[in-house]
Parts: sequence; structure tokens; C-alpha cells
Amino acid sequence: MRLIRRLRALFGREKLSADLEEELRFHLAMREQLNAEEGMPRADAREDAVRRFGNITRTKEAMREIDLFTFPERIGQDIRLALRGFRRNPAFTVTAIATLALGIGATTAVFSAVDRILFRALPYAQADRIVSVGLVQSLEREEFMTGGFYFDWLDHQRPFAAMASQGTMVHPCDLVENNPVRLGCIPIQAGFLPMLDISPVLGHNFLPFEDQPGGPRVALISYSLWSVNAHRKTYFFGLLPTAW
Amino acid sequence: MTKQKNDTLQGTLALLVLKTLAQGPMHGWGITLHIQQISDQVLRVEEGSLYPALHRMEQEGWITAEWGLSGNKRRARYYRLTTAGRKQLAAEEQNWKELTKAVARVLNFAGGRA
Repeated sequence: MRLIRRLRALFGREKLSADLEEELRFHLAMREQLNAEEGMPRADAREDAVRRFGNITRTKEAMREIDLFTFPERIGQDIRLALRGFRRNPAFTVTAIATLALGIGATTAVFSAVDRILFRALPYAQADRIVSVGLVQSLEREEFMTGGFYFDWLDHQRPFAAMASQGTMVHPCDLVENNPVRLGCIPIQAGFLPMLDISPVLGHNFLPFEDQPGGPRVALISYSLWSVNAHRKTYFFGLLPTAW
Repeated sequence: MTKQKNDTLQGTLALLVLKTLAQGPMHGWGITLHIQQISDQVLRVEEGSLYPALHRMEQEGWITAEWGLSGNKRRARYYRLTTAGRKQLAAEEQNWKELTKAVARVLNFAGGRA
């Protein structure tokens, strides 16, 4: 309640000043009237009222100062009072803190993880039509595929507009040169990025002849790797995985 | 030194205002007149200094203000004592009595020696 009153005084400055203006005018008018009733000439009555009142500007400034200076000091007092209250009533304190912690925690979780996973669309074209297919069995819940089956599927499947695969493992493939960087390479089929409607910013996607046993060992690099190494014209990889 | 004097004066003014409002709601002008008349014109502060004092007391929660009509049909801001204000008045009256008693004792003692 006191806090509200103080906030109002601090931020409702214009209202205060209009109220004050009217209040001070009233005071001066009343003094002037009293003077006149006591037989003072009109001009003198007014002058006397102003003289008795003193410095009007200073009065207004003083009132503004009260709002400015009492405010932080009172806030401090309120905080200390609240802390003492917490200490006196630990059950309430624990409940309040737990409530806040849960609330903040849940909100943070939703916005940092659940939001991405559940609510936002995948950053691919026609995300609602993308599925992952493969074999599952009791020991390996994540679907997988072996080469022979896969190529049978690829050649004969009809339900999907496109089908492509990536290797299951991330291979170390280091960027050699002056500043070596350890990178992770994932083998993918030439059709993988076109299926997701992703095309490279620079250069080109894997060409059909590159996607064959014994083909050239080529790699696409991510935008972030490219942007931190933008000065490099060519990249030399060590240990680039052999075609699978 | 001047500051000290000012503070004492402020405190005294607050006491007088609280005491005046204990009789009922009153506007600033009315408080001024009341204090001057009762004190036989001895306590004559700059009339303007009453308003910052009222504002400070309002912030403390001792008094509340609302607009009303004065005797001659003009809009005036009426101040009213709150419960906290009544408590403050009692405490300040007690303080004042103790202070004046102590000062009187010192003065009498010094007077006896002179």
C-alpha cells in the first residue's frame, strides 16, 4: 500500500503538480481574502499573501525531492522488512521460493527445449511429410538399415517422393593445414540434401558420379565452418572416410 | 547547523499538524490559520513550508488527502489523520514532553549556577 502510494507520487508527477498548483493557489487566495477583509488594499493584500507564503518554486522543488529521495530509502526498508518476514516464517519462504523456482524452471525448459522439439516446425521443406524408416528390434530401438535391404527399398519403394540415407556414425575427419581443426563427418547420399530441399550456398551438391563406390572423396562443409574460415579458398581433409 | 535547526523545525511542524488534524479533516490553509491562532501568532513559519511537510507525512502514511469543498464553495485539498498518524501523534507528543522537560531541567540548573 505504501509502495503504491510512493510509486504513484514518483510517476504521477504531472497530476501531483496540477494538484499542488491548485492547492497553493487556494492558500494564496484565502490569505489574500483574509487580508482584504481586514482592510488591506487589494494590491497589498496579494503581495502580503505571496510574501508570507515564501518561495513557491522552492516549495514545489522540496516536494519533488521528497518523492525522489524517500523512494530508494524506503525501498531498502521494505526489502529488509520482507527479509525479516521470510526468516520469521520459513514454511512460507520455502513455499514461495519453490513456487518461483518451479515456475521459472518450467518456463525456461519450455522455451529452451520443448519449444524446439514440440512446437516449432523442423527447418526443412514439408517437415510434416518427413519420416524416418528402418528396422527396429528389441535390442536396438532406433531404426537402422543394412546396405543390401536399403538399396532394395530404394529401387522399389513407391510411398515416398524421395528417399535418401545417411551413415550412422560420425567419423573424425580433421581439417589439416595451418590451423588444424577436429571435425565430425557424416556420410550422406547425394539425394539427401535435395530431399530436404537444402542447396549449398556455395559450390554444388554431390554429383551422381561422386556418389558411387570408388568415387572421389569429396565433402560439403557447414556454413558455420565456412564463415569462421572464410579466407580459405581450399580445404584439406585428413582421414576423409572412404565411401560406404 | 542550519540543517539541524531545520530538522527540528520539521519535526515540530509535523507534531503541530498531526495535533491539528486530530480534531478533524482540514485543508492546508485551515491548518495554517489554526496553528497561528492557537499559538498566539508566535509560531509563524513560512506558510509555504507547510506543504512539503504535509506531502512527506502523506508519504509516511500518517495522513491522507482528498479534494473537497471549502466553506466558501472552493475546491480545497482536505487532509485526514490515519490510524498510523494517530499512533505517530501519540509518540511525538510523548517525545516532545520528554524533550521539553529535559531542556527545562538543563536551563533551570544553568540558571541556578549563574
